[in-house]
Amino acid sequence: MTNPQDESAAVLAFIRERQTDVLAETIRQLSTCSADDLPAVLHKASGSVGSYQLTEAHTLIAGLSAVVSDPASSVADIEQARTTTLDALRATGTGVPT
Amino acid sequence: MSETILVIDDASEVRDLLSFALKDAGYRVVEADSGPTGIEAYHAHQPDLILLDIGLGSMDGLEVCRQLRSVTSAPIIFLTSRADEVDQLVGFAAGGDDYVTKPFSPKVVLARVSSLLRRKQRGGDDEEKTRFQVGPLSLDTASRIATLDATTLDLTRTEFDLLTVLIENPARVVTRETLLERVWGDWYGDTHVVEVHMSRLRNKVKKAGGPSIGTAVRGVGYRLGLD
Repeated sequence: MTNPQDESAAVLAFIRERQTDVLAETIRQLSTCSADDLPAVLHKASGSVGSYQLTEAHTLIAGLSAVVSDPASSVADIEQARTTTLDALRATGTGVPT
Repeated sequence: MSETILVIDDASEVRDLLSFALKDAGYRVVEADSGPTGIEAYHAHQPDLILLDIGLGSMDGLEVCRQLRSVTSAPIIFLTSRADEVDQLVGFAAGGDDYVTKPFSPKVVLARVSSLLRRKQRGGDDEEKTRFQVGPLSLDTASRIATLDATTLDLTRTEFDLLTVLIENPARVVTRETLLERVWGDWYGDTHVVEVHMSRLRNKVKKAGGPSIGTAVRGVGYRLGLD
């Protein structure tokens, strides 16, 4: 994952400027995709939010991915986890390091 | 003129970040959001290096890589969200030169891009036509053709470079560090990459009816193995 101390000032500024939009788009996709598409959406979202230093969101998405990929999870379990994750993502703001 | 990098990824935010970081470092950037448009963009712009997401839609990155490899030897760096080894091995088998796992650090991507472009430059600047012959293996580093007896070996850029270092030192053990430096330049990734590519090189030579090459010397490196 991107370490804020490693990047150039210009790249860091770009990342910070875009974090809110990336998080909003991630929330939109996770809330609108079908259950069938959820694994693929999570897969993409994990790479995106992590690369934009959204560490809390990345952890939340990893948690939902674990539920989705668990063979023991029922459809209801997955939908419950999706709802909980979306609520948590909305509550994070961006968690932007300054 | 600055070098051109083609970024193929269906996630616009990922393309945006890579594109910004690459432009900030002085590269020209061309973007594509799918496999087919990526291949079109390759033909339109002839980029010097390609950053290619594995998890594209209908035509995945591995298939895109196979198609690109039939027309170019430009370095290809895979972007993958799945860091497991199987993906990496399959990726290299498809002809990629390197991989970066997502989430990625733009700084690391830039380092890999720079390293591969320097390798490409070194190859292009080598005006001395050098031929090596050891046993049934021959290598022309100017035309970058490797043959086993009369059969041309279908090697990737990395495999060819590995074989070059080994065949230049036929009676010596070449350390893993030397191979990393000679083949990958400044390397920021997993040193396991040497084993992966060496294994593929060994298999290709063997499959073509050749001897076992690239013998591992535990804890040190590799020797050509044709003394």
